[in-house]
Amino acid sequence: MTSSLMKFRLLILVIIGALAFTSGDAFSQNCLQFERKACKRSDMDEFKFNSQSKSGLFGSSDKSELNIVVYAGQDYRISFCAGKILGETVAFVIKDAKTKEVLYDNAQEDFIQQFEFSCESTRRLIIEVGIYSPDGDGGASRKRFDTEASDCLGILIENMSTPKIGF
Amino acid sequence: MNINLKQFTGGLIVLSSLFLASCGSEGEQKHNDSLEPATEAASEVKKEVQTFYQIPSPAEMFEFINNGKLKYKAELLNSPDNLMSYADKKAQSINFGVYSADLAYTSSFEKYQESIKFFGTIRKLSNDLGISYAFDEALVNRIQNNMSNADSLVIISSDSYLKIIEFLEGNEQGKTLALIAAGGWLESLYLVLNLVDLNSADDKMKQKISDQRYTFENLNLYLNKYSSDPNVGATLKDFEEIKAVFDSMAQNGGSSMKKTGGKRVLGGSNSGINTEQLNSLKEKVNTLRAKFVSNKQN
Repeated sequence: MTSSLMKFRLLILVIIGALAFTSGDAFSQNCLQFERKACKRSDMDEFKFNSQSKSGLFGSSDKSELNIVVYAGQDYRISFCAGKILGETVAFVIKDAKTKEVLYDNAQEDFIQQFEFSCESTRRLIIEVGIYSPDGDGGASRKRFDTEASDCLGILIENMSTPKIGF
Repeated sequence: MNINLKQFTGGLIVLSSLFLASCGSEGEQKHNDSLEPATEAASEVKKEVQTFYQIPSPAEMFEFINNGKLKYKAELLNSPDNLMSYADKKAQSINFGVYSADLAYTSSFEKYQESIKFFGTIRKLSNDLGISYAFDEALVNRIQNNMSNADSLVIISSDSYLKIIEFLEGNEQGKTLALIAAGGWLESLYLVLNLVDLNSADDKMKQKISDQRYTFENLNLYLNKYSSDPNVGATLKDFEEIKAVFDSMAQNGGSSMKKTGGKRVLGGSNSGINTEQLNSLKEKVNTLRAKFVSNKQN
């Protein structure tokens, strides 16, 4: 009986161990839908998930550009989120894709992680992202780590029709 | 029996405690471990800026263009009967995009039976492409349970499209995704251009069609990124005449981001399109779409 119980305990240990290994491995390598899980959604029900949202594994000194299209007559809300290893604060710059003119830099507003705007003219925009660090060198690649690290980074885009104001 | 149960329960508690303790140390260990390989991996990663090109889904394109003025014309859609003629990967991928746009169109017009038919067609194509992951039993059940709910059908068709995109991106199948996006984009524009009377279209509608140049620019850059693949390279060439029409249009100026009444507003001048360019665009789009759905090589 004791022997059976020991075998049973051992079996449970093996199963639990296998589960722990599987889930840990999947979590560490997979950033699938990270933006939907980690970025803060708008409180307004009217804002809908936009398919141009993106997540990926990001190195601490990496810099990426996401080219998106925003349509006239729509309000957009773009939210950023990063995993704990990267420090959770994303530095971003929004540029006109054609002229490369900087339209917004979140360094101007204490690195806020959400950005909302109304779109009056359809445009291609570049969202340039990097990881924020107070002792960095400016721009969207400010982060300075002693060692390179990587974790998930997500860009959540939501949109809704621009509300009509007035009668 | 009571003693055995106690022993068993006690054993489980001990095991759980051991597990939790090991989970904590394992977690910390994993944390440290995960940093170490990342250090090595990151040092090998090129520090150049990675660029990604996003293309709005067909459903988002329809939502933008359709302000209640477009009508439903079933005869414009690609017949599911054509499925059998798509034997090669290029035709399968492009027509996966074509059928996805058709599904977005039928579901937005609350055409339940047609939507189910297109959903079935896409599901079969996903098997051929090895991307049937998105069409699991849970999704099929959602469709069956929401056949008479227009909102749910639109959401489900969008969700399945997104799952496919995420699956392809996650599995580094960018070239397949590029072909799917090309098919979806072309079919969406084909439907709009054949639903609107271009000679009497108002300025607002003309502007919305003209604005598709921006999504085309992203599509063109995305295809370029994978142009070393023969199928993508050939598709890029297929789009050259459409690109020429967009290039002939007046260019917009710069953009501005201003704060008005506490709200940021993105503005700037619009690009223009005249009736001649619209008709030329329609002709090129119809020609290429006919080539894609008939799967002729020239």
